[in-house]
Amino acid sequence: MNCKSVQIYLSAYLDGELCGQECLQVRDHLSGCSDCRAEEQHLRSLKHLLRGLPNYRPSEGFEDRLVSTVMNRTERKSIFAFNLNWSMAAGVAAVSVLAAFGVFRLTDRSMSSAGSAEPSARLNELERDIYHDQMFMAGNDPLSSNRFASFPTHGKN
Amino acid sequence: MRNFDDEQNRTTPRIKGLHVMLFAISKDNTGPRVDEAALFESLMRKSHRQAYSLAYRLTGNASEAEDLVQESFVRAFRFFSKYDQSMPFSSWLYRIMTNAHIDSVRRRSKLKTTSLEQGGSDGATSWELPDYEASPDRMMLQETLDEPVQKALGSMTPEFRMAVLLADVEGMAYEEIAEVMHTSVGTVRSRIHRGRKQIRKHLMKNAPQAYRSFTDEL
Repeated sequence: MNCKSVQIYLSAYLDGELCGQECLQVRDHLSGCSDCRAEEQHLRSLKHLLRGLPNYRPSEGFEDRLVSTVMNRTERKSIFAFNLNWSMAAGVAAVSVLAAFGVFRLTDRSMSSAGSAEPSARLNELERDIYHDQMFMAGNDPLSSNRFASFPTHGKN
Repeated sequence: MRNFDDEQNRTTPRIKGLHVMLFAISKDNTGPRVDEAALFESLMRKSHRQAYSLAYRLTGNASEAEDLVQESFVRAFRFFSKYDQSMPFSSWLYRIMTNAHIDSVRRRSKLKTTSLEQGGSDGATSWELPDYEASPDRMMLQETLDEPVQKALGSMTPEFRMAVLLADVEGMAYEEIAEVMHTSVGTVRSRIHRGRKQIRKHLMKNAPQAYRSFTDEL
């Protein structure tokens, strides 16, 4: 290992985070390199400084304020979750969809039967007119079917 | 002042048992929400101080630290049913806090840092010195260097700042930090090393005398 690669490993070396082989290589290099030893000493001092920094303590009453805030938010969420019973809501939604589908189908069927009645009625009307015309042409009253016209016999008796 | 550590030691076994029981119930979605809330409240009361201290180091002032802690706990509670018990609660909380902090910094695009006076810049925060044995001179130097260190932290990217704080202030292992920050151990190693070098550079420039005195004390 050269100085550059050793210096990259120095923090991990100080923290005991190098595996056996890496640790031995760094240690070997440090035993013969005063510059890297000085760098290691600097980092060790800094680690001591950071490790010994005082802990900050929150202001008086923070704990209760925190608990109250977090739990109140949670309660609001719980109340919402309780009032809105999701399984019941899902059931109601499913029934509504089925009912809507059923209504649609029924409406569709009646509409289609209504649509088919109209051409049928028209057809009957046409047939009736044709029948009446044929009856009339044949000299019969289309309504009573009685003969209203007599054809000449040309003097035959 | 309450002895927080003793209290924590007394409550931990009970909480752990309760924890296992509640998660066993809640996994089938029929668990009592109220009991889960009680467990969360207990964990929150135990961990909020350490979370606040880290939040203060991340944000640089009491008001933003309180907001960050609150936001982190709100998010934590929302996803409490997804909390993996194999991970310490504090690590899980710090993961949430990391994301909340990075979100917040990106939203504002520029992190504001305020000057720290002794006992907290706004008087709302007080210091709690670590309980290891240190000479009075060194403790005084550490207090003197606190403000420049905080400024150095404030000038770093949130990813570097979080990695350094989790390693040096929280004393976490690299693997744990990688898990908290959702990144590789190699990235954590690089962030910590480069972050420390940035802090040292800042101290050498802005508080050379106090920093040299501190290193000479060691």
